[in-house]
Amino acid sequence: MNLDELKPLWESYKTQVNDQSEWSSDDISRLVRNRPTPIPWYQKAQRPFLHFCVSCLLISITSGC
Amino acid sequence: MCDFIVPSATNTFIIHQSSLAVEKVSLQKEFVQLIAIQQKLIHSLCSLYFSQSEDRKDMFQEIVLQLWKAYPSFNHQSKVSTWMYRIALNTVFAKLRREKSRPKNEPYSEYAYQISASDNSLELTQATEELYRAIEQLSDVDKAIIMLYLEEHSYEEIAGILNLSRTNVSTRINRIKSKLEKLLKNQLP
Repeated sequence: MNLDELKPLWESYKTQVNDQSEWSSDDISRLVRNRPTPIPWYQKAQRPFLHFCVSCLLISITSGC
Repeated sequence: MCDFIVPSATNTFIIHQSSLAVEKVSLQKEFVQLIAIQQKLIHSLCSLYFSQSEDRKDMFQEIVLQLWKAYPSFNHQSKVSTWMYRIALNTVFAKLRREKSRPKNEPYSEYAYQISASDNSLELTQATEELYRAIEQLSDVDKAIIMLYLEEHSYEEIAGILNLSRTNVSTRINRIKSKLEKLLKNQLP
């Protein structure tokens, strides 16, 4: 079997799948417009920073500073 | 002097902001047009990896969002389809990895059975259904390789998209060929 024989079948598969799942330009536009805003970097760092501060506080308390 | 500088600086800032907004809108329009034309590629990819219609829809959305995120840095040095496949396949593989690492200790429920029974599967002609069933039995990477091959990408391009060596791609294609030959023996003339 030559794999190239499958190319027309693959094209037909793609067309059939697309016909059943196609999105209109408006749908795509809405999806892109409503995408969630990216989380700012400092929000990702908030929790580790809190942990670091608590650790420092505990060290300072236990060491008697 | 200051009275003149401040309003002019503000105006420049406003003009700059509005030109950025216009640029963003035109970029968005361009992107939407691109996806509208090339969506066939994403749908066929999703359908090979996900059998449930809801999963396919989720994956389509996730891929489009990833493409949109990467679009401003796309420099048109490679083919659009190559760029799209690279991002789409990375998104699919990341999702599959997440699913595999998730513990599967959910109890069997009647509801889950009903969902899988209804399936929302695609309506395909017999020949395309046979091709789909045959490709479905390949491994995740092999599915991607055969899809890219059928999309007329060169071995070098396939190797580049999937981070494999050219020799590896060529060996795998030979293996896929014999596997598909076995699976499709009865269907092809």
